[in-house]
Amino acid sequence: MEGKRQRDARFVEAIRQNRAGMFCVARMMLRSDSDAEEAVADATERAYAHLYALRNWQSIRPWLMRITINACHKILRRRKREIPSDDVQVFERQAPPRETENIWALVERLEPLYSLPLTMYYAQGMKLEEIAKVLHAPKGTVSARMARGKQKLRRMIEEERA
Amino acid sequence: MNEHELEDRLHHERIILPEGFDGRQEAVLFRAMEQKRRPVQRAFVLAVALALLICATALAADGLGLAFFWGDASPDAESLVERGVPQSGGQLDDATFTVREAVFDGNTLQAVVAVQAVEGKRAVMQGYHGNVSADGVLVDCGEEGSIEWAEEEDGTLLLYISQAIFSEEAQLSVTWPCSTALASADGSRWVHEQSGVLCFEVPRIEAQTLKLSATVDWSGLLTVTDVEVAYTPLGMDLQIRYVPGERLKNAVPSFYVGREEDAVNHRGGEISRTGNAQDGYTLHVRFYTPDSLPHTLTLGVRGMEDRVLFDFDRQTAILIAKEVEQ
Repeated sequence: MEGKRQRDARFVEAIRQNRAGMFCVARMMLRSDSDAEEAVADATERAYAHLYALRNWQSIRPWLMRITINACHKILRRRKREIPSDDVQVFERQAPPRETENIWALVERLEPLYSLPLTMYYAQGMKLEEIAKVLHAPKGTVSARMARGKQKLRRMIEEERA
Repeated sequence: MNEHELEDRLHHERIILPEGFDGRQEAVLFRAMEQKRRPVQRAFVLAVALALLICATALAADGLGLAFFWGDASPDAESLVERGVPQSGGQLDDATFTVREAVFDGNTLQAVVAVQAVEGKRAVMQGYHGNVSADGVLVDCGEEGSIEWAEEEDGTLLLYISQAIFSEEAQLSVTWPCSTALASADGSRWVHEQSGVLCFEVPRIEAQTLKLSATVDWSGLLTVTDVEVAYTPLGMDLQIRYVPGERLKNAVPSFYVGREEDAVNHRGGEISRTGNAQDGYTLHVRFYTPDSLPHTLTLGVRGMEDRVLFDFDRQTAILIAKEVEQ
């Protein structure tokens, strides 16, 4: 049984390795830098508070992603009460210009059903088994969503070129 | 573009992180770990709860409650929780909804609702349990606010619901919609939906309050006019009234609130607002489980250098420059 200090050190390392990935997932769901940062911060706090529930350090990455997705759901529910803004660009990053558009800006336009598995697989290098655990879906379903997501991406790219 | 080219771009192009992301998240990480009591208390609560369930003693009937979801609740906070609240409704054909615990402090209602599916089935939540399942009963409860869930060993689904409700009534009467759905024969979707209501009452806890009226012009972006704090051992509610400047109009700035020495890059609770651009807005911020009334609070906006410092002892509100980070 590891001591608390060792456990804390492992947790710090795990967060440092995964928080960029957590941000990517949150950005796909929330489409806002500031909300995505808030989700990552919330997830970090909750992960530490619930660290006793983690049985196997091998599965910490899918575990952190699951907590991040839950944090995003909370923000989405809260958004329903907020007044929509006309001036969001004052406080959000500008979208990159179309000619040199990063592929992830296009992925962000997909529904989370497709953008989340693509983000976890390509941006974070997660395995299909891990993604399936995070999304509570069978591996086959995750594969199918990724294939469909890539089809939609190719169509978007072709439409923009045309 | 062919499949290979697309895969190549997905593998090699990166999602760009916002400037300063790592620094801000590092501060959050270490602040979360400074609260040393939380993991110890939580493990203790969980160990006791599981021991009771395994032994099937009379006490096990109480099950997990608000303290489980709070994590670092103080004894003062737990003593305010109402159990055995008067309630009605919540009985649907495929599941039963029961309020196990509730607490209301005039600004926020928090409750734990225990959901038990009929025999042979398991209560599940939309979006959290993935696909349709033949042995599942899809459930939902409440209408606004945040929701979390946990499962007890006997399969009871616990829903922790936190909702902003402002009331000065001594007793709060709550009516929440609740619903169930079953899997279709081919297992592809949820059908046979049934709706009901869950009604219950919870007394309001008296809060300690602080008020400060001061006009602070924040770099032309907005003008802060006054602030009010209401505190109970359950948490603190902060209301900040401001009038937006011409440039801001009805945009929602990304506010953050700091408390005492945790002034720089501190995340503060849940934030929402009411009002309009002409008359001004009231920002509502909810902190959970602070130990005491604050002496000072700071209000910041992400992307801006200055912050507003509210000093309740001196009854002042002033604009201060951001500290230089080492």
